[in-house]
Amino acid sequence: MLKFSTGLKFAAIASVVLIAGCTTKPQAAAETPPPASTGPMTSETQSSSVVAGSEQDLKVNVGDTVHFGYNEYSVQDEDKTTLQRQAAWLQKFPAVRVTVEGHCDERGTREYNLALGARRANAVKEYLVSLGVSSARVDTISYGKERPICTESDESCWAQNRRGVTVVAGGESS
Amino acid sequence: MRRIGIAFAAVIAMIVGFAAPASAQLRVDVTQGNVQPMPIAIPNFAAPQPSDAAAGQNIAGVVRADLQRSGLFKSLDPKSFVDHITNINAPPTYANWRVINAQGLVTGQVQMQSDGRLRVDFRLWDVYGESQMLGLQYFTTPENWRRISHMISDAIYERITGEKGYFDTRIVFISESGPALARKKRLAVMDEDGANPIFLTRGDYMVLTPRFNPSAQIIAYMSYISGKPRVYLFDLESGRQQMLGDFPEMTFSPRFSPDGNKVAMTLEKNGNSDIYVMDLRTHGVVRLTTDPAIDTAPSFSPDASKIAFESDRGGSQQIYVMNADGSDQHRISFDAGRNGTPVWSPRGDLIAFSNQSGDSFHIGVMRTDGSGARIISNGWEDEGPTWAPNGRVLMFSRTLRGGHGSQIWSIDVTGRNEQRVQTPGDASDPAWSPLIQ
Amino acid sequence: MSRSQIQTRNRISQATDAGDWPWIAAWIGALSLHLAIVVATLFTWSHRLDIVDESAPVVPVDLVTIAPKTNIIATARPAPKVQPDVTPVQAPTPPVAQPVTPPQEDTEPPPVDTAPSEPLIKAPPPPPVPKLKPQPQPDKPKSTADSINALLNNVLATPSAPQNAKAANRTTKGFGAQTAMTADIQDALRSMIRPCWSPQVGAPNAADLVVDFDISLNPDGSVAQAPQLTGQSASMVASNAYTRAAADAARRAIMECAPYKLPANQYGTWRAFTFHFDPRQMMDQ
Repeated sequence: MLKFSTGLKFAAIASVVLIAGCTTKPQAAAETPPPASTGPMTSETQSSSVVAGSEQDLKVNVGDTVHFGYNEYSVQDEDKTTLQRQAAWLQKFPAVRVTVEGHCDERGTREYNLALGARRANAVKEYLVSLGVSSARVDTISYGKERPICTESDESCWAQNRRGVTVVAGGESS
Repeated sequence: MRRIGIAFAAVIAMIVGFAAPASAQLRVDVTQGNVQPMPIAIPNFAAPQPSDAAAGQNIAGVVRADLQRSGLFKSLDPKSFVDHITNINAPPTYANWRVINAQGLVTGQVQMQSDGRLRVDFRLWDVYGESQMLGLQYFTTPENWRRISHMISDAIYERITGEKGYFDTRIVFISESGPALARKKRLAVMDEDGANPIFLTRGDYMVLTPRFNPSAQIIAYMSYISGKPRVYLFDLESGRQQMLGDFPEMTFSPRFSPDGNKVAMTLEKNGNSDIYVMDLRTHGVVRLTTDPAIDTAPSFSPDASKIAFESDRGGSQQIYVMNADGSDQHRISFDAGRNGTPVWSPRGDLIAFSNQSGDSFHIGVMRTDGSGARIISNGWEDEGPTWAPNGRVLMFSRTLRGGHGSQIWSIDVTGRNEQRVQTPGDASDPAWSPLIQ
Repeated sequence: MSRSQIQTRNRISQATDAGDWPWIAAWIGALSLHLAIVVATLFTWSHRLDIVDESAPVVPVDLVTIAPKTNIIATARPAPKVQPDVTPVQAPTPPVAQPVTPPQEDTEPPPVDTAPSEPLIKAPPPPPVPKLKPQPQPDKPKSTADSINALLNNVLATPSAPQNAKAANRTTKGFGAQTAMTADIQDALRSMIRPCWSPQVGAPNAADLVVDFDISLNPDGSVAQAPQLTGQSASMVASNAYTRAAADAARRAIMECAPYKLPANQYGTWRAFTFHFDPRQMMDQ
């Protein structure tokens, strides 16, 4: 377990370096499976190495993920502060464009979950826009149930998988 | 005179009336039987030239496997045969096949022709009826021996069951590999029996829900190749893929119309998913649903007059049917749980669907008015049914509990003969081709 | 369809048969090359609508030049001769008349083709015994006692005149004894044929599968002559592949389950009878 988390840390650092190293690369950002993250990390050592306005900044210092109820797509109250932080962060880095990914748990047909994921991504986008973020800066994409971050077939896992993740799609600081 | 005639007729009628039941012999109503695979003996096909012996063995082997896999036949072990077929043109000694309880016997012969083609003959015999049921002959290039085998299987299947076979078909599917949290998904095709698997995409982008067109030449599917999930067409002959239309947001769940000229699919806009039909010749697009609910997974009826789809407009995901122009949208599934991915049988009599009760998913079938729904599969997460071209067998995706991978399974429409389909590694989203032309 | 495409396909199939996938190695080679190209182009790769996936192997589709042969069952098949309106079963099948047919089957004519004497004698087809059950059966599992009672009632309702001297002698014994005996024999035949009969319960239209066969048995219970398809099914069999298959399945069952062990002293009752096969109850599931 210790070994695993160390590896994870290395992977995280490696991806920071990788992303910081290149200027704009939308495909890479979209294609790279995000390192497992369910909310803002508290580790001081990591956040200090993060470039402000970068994807990692968003992930680590702002919080990139919100969660949804089963077969639900409205933003939950406890997630609104996360999105408010995201909106503020987006105001702070006006060049940054983001894509909101909508994800579902495995309990739904493939097609239905693609549609549900789109609803979730759109709900996040609408909330960000309601907080003053230009809709032109926020794109959405649905992955349905195809990109889980947890594979057990139980409620704790399903809850983690029902999520909206905001990722930087361009204009990030380097 | 006339009165006498009437009286005479009455007498006749009386005689006939009494005589008829008198001649009625005992009638025995048989309403219960014993459904079981038909035992069939398929010796290796004879080869007058020793150099053709391997082909004779291979062809018989594929036919045996095909029929066995259908669940309607029991291919008897050649080791149990007490007779050896040398002349396929003479009726067999039926008693020698009754000894091993064979009801059917297939004899065949392969002969390389001077022009380089392979000639394959076979005959199907009714062992108890002591008659030939079928006899066919094929010429082909030797490389095609597998297809010939499948065609022979189809002919036997059709003669015995009364319906077309499905062995000379292909399956397009998603080949899955890699860890559960970073699945690699590639478009792939294979023969119905799992032979000849070919990967069509590399797996560096996700692909989902492939469907054959009626000529089995073009595949419609969803791909993330551009970073955006969109419906694409893949031409098997050229290997070229092309985005279908140019839509601002996600397009998904494509399915061809029965004539192959249209694709019904779902367009998502601002989180709302609706069903559209695109004409592939004119690229004209017609919107069929306008509901703010999720409307997706359209499937044409074989006569193209109707489209089944799923919608959660009533609160939960259920199956609806509408006319092909979008009119008369009405719900047909009222059973417990959620119901989705309706797929109209090519036979026209049933709609297969994915049912979710509690946390698990099963494949079900219902009549096209929604009546007679029954669940036929029994996995943890079974979804995405696809029909064999004869409407008799279904394949579907089975995801194992706890992220332990995906498999393709097949099942008879009666719920019998559930079995795993051989695939290169994990696989999902099968779609059955029509019979190859 | 070029020859090379076919060969590609064939090569792959052989590799698969061998169990190891040597082409995977080739694939990995191709993959790494492509990977390099992809990495090189990733940065400049704009969104293209038409993307040709170069690595995709070409898949052959139309392959076979097949000459479908005539259906050589023409002479061999025991076509039911019971009814004059039955067109030979083979009629629709051989549209391509190819002279390749080895007419070998004539060497051993099936016994069926010889004189289907008995059925021809009774010119008007026997009206079916009053139906035991109207078509839509409300209660599926019917007890034997029920069916016997129903049978008794039916038989009592339609008194039958003796056809021959033997039968006349029997009937003098009394109606009740006779019908009970008949019901016993019906039950016995039902239970004897049951394990052999495997109808195609997945067929789309259950009514297509209802078939009747006239049976003649020898005193030892063996089948005296080939069972004759009769009733409505005899006229459907030529045009309906499902009925044809159902008739074959029923005939196989009749032949496979023979001989039928029945009380010898009642041979007159079971010497000739009709099997009415109706799988509809088995199909609602």
